[in-house]
Amino acid sequence: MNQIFRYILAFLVYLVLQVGLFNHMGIFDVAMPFVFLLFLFSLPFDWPVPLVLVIAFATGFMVDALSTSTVSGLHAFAGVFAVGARERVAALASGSNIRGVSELNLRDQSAIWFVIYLLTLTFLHNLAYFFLEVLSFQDFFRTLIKIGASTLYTFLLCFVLSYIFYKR
Amino acid sequence: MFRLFTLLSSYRNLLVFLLLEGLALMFIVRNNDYQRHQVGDTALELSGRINESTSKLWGFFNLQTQNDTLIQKNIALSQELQSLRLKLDRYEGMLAKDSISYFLADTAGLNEKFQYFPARVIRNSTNLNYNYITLDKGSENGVKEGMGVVSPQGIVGNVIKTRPRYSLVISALNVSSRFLVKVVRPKEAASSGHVGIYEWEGGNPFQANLTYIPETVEIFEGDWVLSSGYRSVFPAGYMVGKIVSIDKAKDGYHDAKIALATDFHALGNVYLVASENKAELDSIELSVPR
Repeated sequence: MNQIFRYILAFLVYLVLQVGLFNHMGIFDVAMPFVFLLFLFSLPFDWPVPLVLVIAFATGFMVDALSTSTVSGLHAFAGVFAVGARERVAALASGSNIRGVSELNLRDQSAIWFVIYLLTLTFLHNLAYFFLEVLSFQDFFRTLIKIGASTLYTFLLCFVLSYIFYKR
Repeated sequence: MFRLFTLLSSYRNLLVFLLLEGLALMFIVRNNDYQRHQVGDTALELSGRINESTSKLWGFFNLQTQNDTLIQKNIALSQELQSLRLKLDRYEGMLAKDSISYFLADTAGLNEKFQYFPARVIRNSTNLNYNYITLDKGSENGVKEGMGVVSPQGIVGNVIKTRPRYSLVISALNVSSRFLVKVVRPKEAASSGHVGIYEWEGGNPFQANLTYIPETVEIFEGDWVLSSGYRSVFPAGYMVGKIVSIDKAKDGYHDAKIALATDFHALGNVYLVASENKAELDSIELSVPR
């Protein structure tokens, strides 16, 4: 009960921070910090996957709804897209020496694991997000630049935040 | 039913994933003009491309039919052209009020009737001294020895041998090909002009020789060389080529070169020309005691 309450609180905090702060921290309209992703990626691995997917959808949907600049449904799609790959990426980052992804705990993992995990998932999210935003391959390289820049920006912010707040 | 549920539950994660993604997509397309426009555009472009390629595909299958219709049309048109040209010749002769030219115009083939059959070249050479062409039509299709063969650009040769389904044509690019031609100033009536002999000396498939035009007759570069219509192999006035160079006369005759109108390298569809009067003409000519 305590855990669930904590995550609901975290959800609200991330949402407010994302909408109120990070949405206004874009750089030249190219690099966007999607820091709320850290919330999605740090959900416990032993929670059932459908629940995590629904949370990702709901979070994305709320972010979409509350930020005027984004297209509604984009974050919902991209969030579910990235979280859907979460277990695979986690297993991949761990190498072969894990028994089950559900036993993973974010705090126990090494920094390099966290870097691979966070970077890959952020990249997946941004890939889906930006391509869906333009819905064409017309400005292919501009879209690629956006994806790359936003991935790096988001990753850096998330990494710093996780060091500050999770104290690993 | 139970097995269905186990199947569904084993794909539970995937199903939930797809469901949510579908829902999100629906939101995106429903609520956003730009994305809706893009989806509509993509669908339009996709259907357009599909339509275009299918029509190309069907066009490819129809090519044969289209080709045949075009060939038939071509035949009809060249027959019409032929008859019109003959009429024109006659009227020009009448206008000249010159009984001889009228007579000439008349003999140039007013009574001649030609029929055209399409055929396709299936074998052809241009690099030998004795070049022959094989056509895909033979005696079964009404091809007879002695028939002329023309292409849309100009004369090609005449049939020397027929088999039920194929016929062999002696190409104009053959050192033994010789026939009577007329030299006319461009755009003058085909019935006028001086008669010479077409010859090919081998080598250049774009050029032939024009001989036996007396030195006293004036010919110029650019003059047209047309089939004479004598011997009824080719219809009178069919294009052979244009004079490109005139060398110094020898033995009292001009020595001129013809740029051939027909591109023998690119022969595809040709027409067999049958004169309806040829048998009669031949028989009367053969009856002359020699």
